[in-house]
Amino acid sequence: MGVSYQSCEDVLDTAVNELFDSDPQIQAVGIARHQQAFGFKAVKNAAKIVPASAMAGAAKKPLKAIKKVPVTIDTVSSDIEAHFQVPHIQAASFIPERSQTTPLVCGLQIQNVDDDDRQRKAGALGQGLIIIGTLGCFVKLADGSNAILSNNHVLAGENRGIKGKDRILHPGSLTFSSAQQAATLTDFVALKPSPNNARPAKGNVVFNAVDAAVAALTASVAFSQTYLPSRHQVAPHGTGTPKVGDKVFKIGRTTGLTHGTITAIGTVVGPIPYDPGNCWFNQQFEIVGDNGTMFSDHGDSGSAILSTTGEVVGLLYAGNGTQTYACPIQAVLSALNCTLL
Amino acid sequence: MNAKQLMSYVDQPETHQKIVGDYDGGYALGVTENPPAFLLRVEPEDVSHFPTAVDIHGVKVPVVVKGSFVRPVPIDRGTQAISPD
Repeated sequence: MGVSYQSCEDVLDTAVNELFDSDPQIQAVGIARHQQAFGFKAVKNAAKIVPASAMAGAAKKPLKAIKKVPVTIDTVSSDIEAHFQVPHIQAASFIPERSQTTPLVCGLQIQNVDDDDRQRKAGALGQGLIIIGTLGCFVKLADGSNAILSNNHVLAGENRGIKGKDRILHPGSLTFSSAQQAATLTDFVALKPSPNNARPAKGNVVFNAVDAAVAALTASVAFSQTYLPSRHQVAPHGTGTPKVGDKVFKIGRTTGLTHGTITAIGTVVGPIPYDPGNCWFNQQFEIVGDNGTMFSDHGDSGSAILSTTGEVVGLLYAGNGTQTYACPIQAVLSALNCTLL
Repeated sequence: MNAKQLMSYVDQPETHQKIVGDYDGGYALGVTENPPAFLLRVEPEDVSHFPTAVDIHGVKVPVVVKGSFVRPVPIDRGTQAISPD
């Protein structure tokens, strides 16, 4: 039985302390829906390796309630990085972009099911796992068809994608599900790795301008160039140029709605480890989350980055927990010969 | 030199030679403003051996150097565990 939201909020600090103290594998704690009311939800990374000394102080049994507020613990097995600044304010269960939604809108979770299948068969992807990313926004291709815009490494498996064949699902599945088919991979800008010893100072780096791909929407799929109504955010409309100091936001399938500030433009960044090899990028821009929050995390790749007034300024593709890197949208649209819808 | 002008120099090998030299770690070099400057993020915590200004065609351009940079990664690598259909 859940309790009121206010009851949760009143003891949230206590819950955060007790839950993090009770289990070193817990990564996030928040208030979530519980039956018809609210409770605490914690997200635990069961794959996290924890020293025996830390486990010794952990609770023997999972906490079921704190101050009469029920607790549920979701177990995940995603990678955890040491440079997380703070647990994100929204627990995983708060992100509605992960649930199947009609019509398709910007920010939703997507997956290349055929690439995942090939990767699984090749032993490069564990059983029971899928690789997911975010639907950035919708574009019109040169042939007049409507398409999803996201990253190469989301839609096209880092150059492995098969144009015209690979099926893109929302939200994603271990096996193909026609009910989830959203689009088919149409085109991508190939990622160009540089030799391992390449450095910009040596002049031997092959610069990438974008990490981007498009997938033509399945004819019967309804879509809208908006975000989920519950987000109450301005819809993407038109494009803009990133400028230092501009306030921006993004909605992605992992961290949901986040706000940040552009801290650098024209950026050269690398080496970034992709499957084809280490890649360097130039003329990128950098965003830092506001008030010490993370702007993006694993799975947010492909999110459109918008100005506060709704112009799309970039496509998010890489980050380290503190800085996020994005391609300017004009370079993306030009490289893929498409226009924003 | 304003930010737009700096952007035309930021991916030139000569600029990187002057700013990062033979440093071979991961880094990000961009352009920031107020005032216009290069923004360099590098992995070492100690950034004392990186320059705080460089000469670009006779103009002294500030370099803001930040340490403890973590190499970015493509951020779809998080995988989601789901139950079989």
